[in-house]
Amino acid sequence: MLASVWSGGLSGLQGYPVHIEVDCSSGLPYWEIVGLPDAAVKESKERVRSAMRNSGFSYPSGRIIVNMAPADMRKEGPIYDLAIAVGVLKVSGQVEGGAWQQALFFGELSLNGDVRPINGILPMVIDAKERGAESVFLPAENAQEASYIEGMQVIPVKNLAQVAKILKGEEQPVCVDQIAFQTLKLSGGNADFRYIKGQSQAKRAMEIAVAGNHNILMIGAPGSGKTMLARAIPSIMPELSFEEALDITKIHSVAGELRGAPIVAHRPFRSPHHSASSAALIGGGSKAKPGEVSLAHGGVLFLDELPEFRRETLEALRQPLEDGFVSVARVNAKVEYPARFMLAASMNPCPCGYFGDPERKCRCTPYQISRYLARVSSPLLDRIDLHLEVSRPSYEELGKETEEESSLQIKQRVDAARDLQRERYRKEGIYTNSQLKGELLERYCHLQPAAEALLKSAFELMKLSARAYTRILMVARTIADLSGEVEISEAHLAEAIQYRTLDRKYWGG
Amino acid sequence: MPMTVKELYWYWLASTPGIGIASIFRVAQMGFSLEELFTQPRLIENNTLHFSEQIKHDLKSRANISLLLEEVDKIERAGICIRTAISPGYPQRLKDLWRPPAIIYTYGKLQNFPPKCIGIVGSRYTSRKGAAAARELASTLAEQGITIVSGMARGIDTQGHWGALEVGAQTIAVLGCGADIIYPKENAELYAQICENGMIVSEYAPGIKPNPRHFPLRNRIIAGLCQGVVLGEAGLRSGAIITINYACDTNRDIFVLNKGDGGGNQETIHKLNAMGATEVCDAHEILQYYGWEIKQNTVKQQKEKPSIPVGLDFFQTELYNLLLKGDFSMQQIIDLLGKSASEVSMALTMLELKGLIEKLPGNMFGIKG
Repeated sequence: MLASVWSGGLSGLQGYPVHIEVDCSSGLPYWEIVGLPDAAVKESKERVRSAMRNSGFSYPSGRIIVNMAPADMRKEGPIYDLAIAVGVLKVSGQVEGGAWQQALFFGELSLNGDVRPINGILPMVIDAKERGAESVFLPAENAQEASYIEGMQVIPVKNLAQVAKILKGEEQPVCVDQIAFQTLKLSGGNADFRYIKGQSQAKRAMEIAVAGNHNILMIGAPGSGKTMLARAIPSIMPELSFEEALDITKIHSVAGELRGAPIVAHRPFRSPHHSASSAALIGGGSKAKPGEVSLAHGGVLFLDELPEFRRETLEALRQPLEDGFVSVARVNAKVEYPARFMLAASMNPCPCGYFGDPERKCRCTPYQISRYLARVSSPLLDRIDLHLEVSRPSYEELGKETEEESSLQIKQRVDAARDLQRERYRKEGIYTNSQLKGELLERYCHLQPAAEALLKSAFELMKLSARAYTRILMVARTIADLSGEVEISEAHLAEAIQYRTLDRKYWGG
Repeated sequence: MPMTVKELYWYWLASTPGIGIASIFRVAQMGFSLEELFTQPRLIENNTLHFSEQIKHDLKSRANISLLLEEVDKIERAGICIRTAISPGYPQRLKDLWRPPAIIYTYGKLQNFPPKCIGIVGSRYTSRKGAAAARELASTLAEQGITIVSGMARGIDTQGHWGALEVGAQTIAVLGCGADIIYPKENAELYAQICENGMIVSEYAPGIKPNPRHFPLRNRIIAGLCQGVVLGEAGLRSGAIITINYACDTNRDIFVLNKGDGGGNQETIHKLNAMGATEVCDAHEILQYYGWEIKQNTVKQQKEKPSIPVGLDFFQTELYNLLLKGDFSMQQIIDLLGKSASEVSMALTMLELKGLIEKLPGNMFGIKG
């Protein structure tokens, strides 16, 4: 006797179909799973047997062989319990496949027969849809997530008995209601710049950074509000489209980071601790899970206390910053995860944190300070366009009753600037000013002679480093876009120069 | 000038770690000359000299003319000049100290100790005002032909030396380590400049590393080399107060810099006033105190900053006038002038490029100079 059931597996963010065949023949009781199962899949034997017994089914005696095709892909996790159980039910004649021959089954079984939620539903169901599948049985908790795939009949199930009833036609499957994406977007907002008092320069810098998709580094004493500012960044980023949201949700689904949410409706804000390993940040490990850079895809990756991160961890950031994706090599496959994020980092000006603070004395020696600053490697600094000094707000500033600009107002200006850039770079294959390089930089950041002279004198007077040159041009381009102007003027350059603190040599000397 | 044999004996004794001027006095009190001590090692064993076993061993192992000549030759070839307390090149003023150094090592272009020396000391952690005041004082004094003596430490010391070097004058730095060692490290450039235009002085043999207990002793040499010592910005417990105490004990004039603009530590100023220090607000008061001639039309005066900057637009002028009142942070400027962050950033860059203002650590801005 032979029965077959469909399920799916994951390779990175790409789903693939898994065909599960269950064969039962007479002989001594025996059970074997073949087709590269990992330990969690092998253990499904015990879960399936107990779940069947406790749901009122009989477990067939005899030799049971479960084969999972394709046999050369490693099957991971407890996601096949339900599919195997359905296969065993079919092979023992307790249910008929009937109308559901082509349906997919996902879910982990509990010993009492309940179906438990699993990770990575979205990419697997998307793949099944592309291959023509029409219905999928999955844990009730995962149903919302899959409901966003148009044209797929999603059947949420609570336990094995319910699955059997549906298969036998004794119960009509209920379909999930999709929660409108727009509704989700409105609920549970991000931080808002309206609630941050003072810090006008910092807010302006954030606006510029988001408008040109520039990476930003904040330097300031502890308690100056660096983290609060960073948290508000997603609130002024361009609106999340449904397609983008789906892409982001895929990553979060695979990483098991959805935490019950049906879809990621807000731009992610990730702030890994500085003790994070490079595998945690970039992705990888034995399961090749996506790392923080991928979880921040489409949003903000915030690295607090930048110099405290391990050097090799920071170095590993260079590839995703450059390419917008990470490739994680594992034993038998190479997985690619998207990682297009805006980097916001923060650091103290010196080891004690109070260098330049008007109220507290800094006790660090210039040597200690220069060593502290040198911990952030220059290749990484090369990829950060704006440096911003944030000072601690005084008590008076905090208590002021002024109306601060809301994120929505800032966002409108950001959107306008982004539209200008998209229009201008339509034929170039880039989207924002932060992507300008080489020849494109020359073409689009052309300077008038007066502006050229200003930049030249700035270089000589302020002893700016060579790397500052292109960064200033790019940021000036964004500032010009924010004011809706075609040419970069002296004023735009003058403002851009203020955001190159770390290139200035007054630090530590 | 080659060393005399007498100086060599003196060098032998004085350069041994653990032996200072007091030990040499004791030898003299015992009634035998250094030559006798050198040639008769059994005398070293004399218990009334209170030499430790280590010192006895060191002295005996180095009691060898050719070995000593080799040592001296090595030091002199490095350009370092050895001056024992009996050498003609030893500064007479140091002998006013209760315990003058038995030997000093000097390095640099300056060969003789100039007659007019003023020390400038103060805290290692300074405010911008305090640093600027010390530097200006040093520059003016140096222009009038007075040599600035200090310790090349961070803060006021560094400012004092640079102030003198700025106007092309000579300056003397007294170190708490060997004369060939740069401490603190970040003053490498300053050290090089002092070597070219002035003198490095140390009582420690070349190669000796800085040690916390060296610095208070180094301070007595600063006090000893000068007619007077000026205290710049310093806290009550600052190491600079040690120098002032030495100056007091050695009968040197003490000045305390008080420009009356809130810079400098008021408590310290009061304490020094109580000690009998003279409060000064600029270099000319010091010159007048000594009755030294004041030369006019010096370089520094020509460098006076332009009082009315030209070519500024309305807002830039407003901003410049605001900064004339003091240093302000970016946020304060934005709030006080009621302009947007981008307008203020622009104007600040423009003023900075005109050389009128400067950016300070902590996102502060102030008038340049």
